[in-house]
Amino acid sequence: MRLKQLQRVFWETVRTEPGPEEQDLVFASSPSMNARDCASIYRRMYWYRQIDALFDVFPTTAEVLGSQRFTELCTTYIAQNPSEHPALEQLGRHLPQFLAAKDRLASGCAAVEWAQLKALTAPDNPRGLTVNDLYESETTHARAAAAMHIVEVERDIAQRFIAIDDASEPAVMLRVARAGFTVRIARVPAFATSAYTRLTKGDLFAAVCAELASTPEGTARASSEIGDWIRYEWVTVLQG
Amino acid sequence: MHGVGLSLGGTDPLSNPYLAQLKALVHWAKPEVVSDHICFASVDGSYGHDLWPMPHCEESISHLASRIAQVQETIGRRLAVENVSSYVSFQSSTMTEWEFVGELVRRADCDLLLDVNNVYVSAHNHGFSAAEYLSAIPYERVVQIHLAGHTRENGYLLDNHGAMVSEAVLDLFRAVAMKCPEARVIVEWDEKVPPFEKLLEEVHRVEQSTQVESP
Repeated sequence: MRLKQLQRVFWETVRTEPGPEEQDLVFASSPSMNARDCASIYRRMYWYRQIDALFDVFPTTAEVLGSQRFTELCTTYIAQNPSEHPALEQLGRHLPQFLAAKDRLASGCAAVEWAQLKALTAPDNPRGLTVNDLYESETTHARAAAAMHIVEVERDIAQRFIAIDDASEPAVMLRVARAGFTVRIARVPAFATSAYTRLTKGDLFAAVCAELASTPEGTARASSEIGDWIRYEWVTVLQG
Repeated sequence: MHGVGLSLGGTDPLSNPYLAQLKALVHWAKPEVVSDHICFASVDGSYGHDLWPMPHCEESISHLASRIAQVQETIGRRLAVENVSSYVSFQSSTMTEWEFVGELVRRADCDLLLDVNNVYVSAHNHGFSAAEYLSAIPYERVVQIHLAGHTRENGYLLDNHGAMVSEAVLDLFRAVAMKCPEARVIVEWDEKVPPFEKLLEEVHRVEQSTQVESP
C-alpha cells in the first residue's frame, strides 16, 4: 500500500473507524494487542487532545454548558470541522458560530473567549499609532490592531466576564485587548462606543477622534483613551 | 526550537505559510537547534494534532528525506528530526525502526534528536530491544536528547510527559550520554506539571545519573 493511501486509512481510523478488513491490511499486531486495538489508541488520543484543547480555550463556555454537554457538542463540532491549521489553538475558530444555533449564552461566551485567544496570540503591531500620527489625523486612516477586539454581546453574556452595575443596557460593547502578556476585558464606555465602531472599520483617525470627543464626558476622557491606544499599540495606522 | 506541526512525513504539500513563519522565527531567535518529528500530522488538508508514525519502508525514507531537504533549504539551517513513540506498526514496514532512522538521517543529511523515552516506550509496545535500537544509532548526528516520563496503560506504555523519568529510561540514557557527550539534554514534563522545585529535582536526578563516581 502506498503512503498516501495508508495515511488516508489512518485518518479514517482516528476519525470514524473503517471496516476491519481495511484496518488489517494496514496495521500490524503488537505482542500484547491486536492491530485494531493498537490503532484505537490513536483514535482516543485524537478526540481527547482536541476536546481538551477546546476546554482550555473556552473555559467559561464549558462552564455554561456543563462538562458533559460541552464535550458532546465539541465532539460534533470536531466531526463537522476537522482542524485546518497546524496550530492546535486555531481549532476553535468556528465554535462560536457552531454554537449559535444551539445555545445563545454559550455562543456569546465562546465569541468573547475566541477574541481573548486572538488578542493573546496576535503579532506585535509594527504600525502602531504614535503621537506624531495625531498631527496627521486629517489624512491618517486607523483601525483596531490584532491585539484588540471589539465584541458586542448581550448583558448576561458580558456579566460572565466583567461586573456590570448598570441594568438598563441590553447589549454591551466589550474591548478584549492585550496589554503586555495579559488579555484584559473591559466595557467600552458609552461615550466611546461610536468611536470604537469607526475604529473597527478603518475610518479616518480624525473622524474617530471627533466621535470620541463628541460628548462632554468624551472630551474629558479622550486623551486617556487615545493614550491607551498608543501605549498598548491597540491601533494600527493604515495610511499616512 | 522544537516544533510539532511540520508534518514532515505527510503527503500533503508542506505548508508554505508555516514554513515562512518558521523561517522568520528561526532567523529572529537564532536557536541552537531547530527540530521537528519523524511523523505525519495531516491528511488531505486536515490536521490531527498528533505525531502519527510512519511505516518503516523505502517510500517513507525517500519522501521524508526530500521534505527535510526542502525545510533545511527554506530555513537555511540544519534540521534535527526526532524519533516518535508509537502504539501501532504497519504491515508495509520492511525494516526495523533503527534501520529506518539511521538511513533517513544519512540520506537527508540532517541531525537527530534522540528521545530515549520514546525508544523505550516503542520497544515495549512493539516487542523489540531498546538496547539494540540504541546500539545502531548514528551518534555523530545526535544534537539533542529528550527524556520524559510515561505511564503504564492496559497493555501498552503511554508517552505522556506527565511523570518522572523511569529508572529503566535513565539506565538507557547513561549509555547514550557517553556516546554523544556534547548533545544537550531536555527533560520534557508538560502534563500534570508539578511545582517548579520538583521539576528542578528531576533535572538534578538526570544530571547526577550520568556523573561517574571518583575511585
